[in-house]
Amino acid sequence: MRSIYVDLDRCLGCRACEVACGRIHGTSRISVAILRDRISIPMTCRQCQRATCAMACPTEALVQEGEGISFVPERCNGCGLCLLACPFGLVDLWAGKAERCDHCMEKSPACVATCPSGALAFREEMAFSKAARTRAVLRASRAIEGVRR
Amino acid sequence: MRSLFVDERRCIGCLACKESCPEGKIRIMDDEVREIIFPSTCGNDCTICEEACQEKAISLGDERPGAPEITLRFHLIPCEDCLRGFITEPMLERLKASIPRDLQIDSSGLSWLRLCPSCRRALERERMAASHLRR
Repeated sequence: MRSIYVDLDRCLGCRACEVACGRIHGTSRISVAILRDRISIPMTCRQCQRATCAMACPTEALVQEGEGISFVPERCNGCGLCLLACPFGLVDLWAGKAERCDHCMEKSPACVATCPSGALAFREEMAFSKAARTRAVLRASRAIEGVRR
Repeated sequence: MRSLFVDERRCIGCLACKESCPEGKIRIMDDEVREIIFPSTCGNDCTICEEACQEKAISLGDERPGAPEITLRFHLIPCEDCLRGFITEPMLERLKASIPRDLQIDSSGLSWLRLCPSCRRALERERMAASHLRR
């Protein structure tokens, strides 16, 4: 399953992802915070494969479907159990409904399309980790080149 | 006009009725204690709160003139990090029953259910920052 991955080396902390998400959904489901004055960290739903939010939902508004999580807003009663059931605190309530990233319904997510630095990627896990490893190797080899010179 | 009946043995202190009421007639105030204040009567011709309550704690019946507001109180269990009350005891019990035990403890041995959502998010961000800077 494709997910949104973050390359922290590239994140500028510009919050364009938050703006894009808010434009599409009315409120942003991704949040960026800058830690220790130097590292910016965007966070959004991890799309858990054993989704505790769906396990806690009493109305079957959030349902685990295969590797993904589906959401039927009409069933959501706004009880708030899902947001208390998320291990990462990444579910919110907005206008009486559970609010979490749904990858813009599997289309190209707005945050990914907007990210100016390519820090966000919508990919299969394997593809993302391969790309991240390749970049790490390139970085390391450039550093070694620098030492040799 | 109809009267509202609330079964306090069934209510778990969640937000469903308050979030569903189109008139905002059900109020919730959080401090160390969560107070849920229901109007005694409701002139609206709807059953939204009754249907929204997954615990079937609310029922609407014939009007009882002069009935007082109904206030339910739940102690809010404090977050182990920021110490702010964030969850009622029945809600915590519900989560413990619906989430498998192996998922209630994370890889570092933390019982994350005892932290409020914003502290969970902050902790996860700290962990991401720490592991990124360690490389």
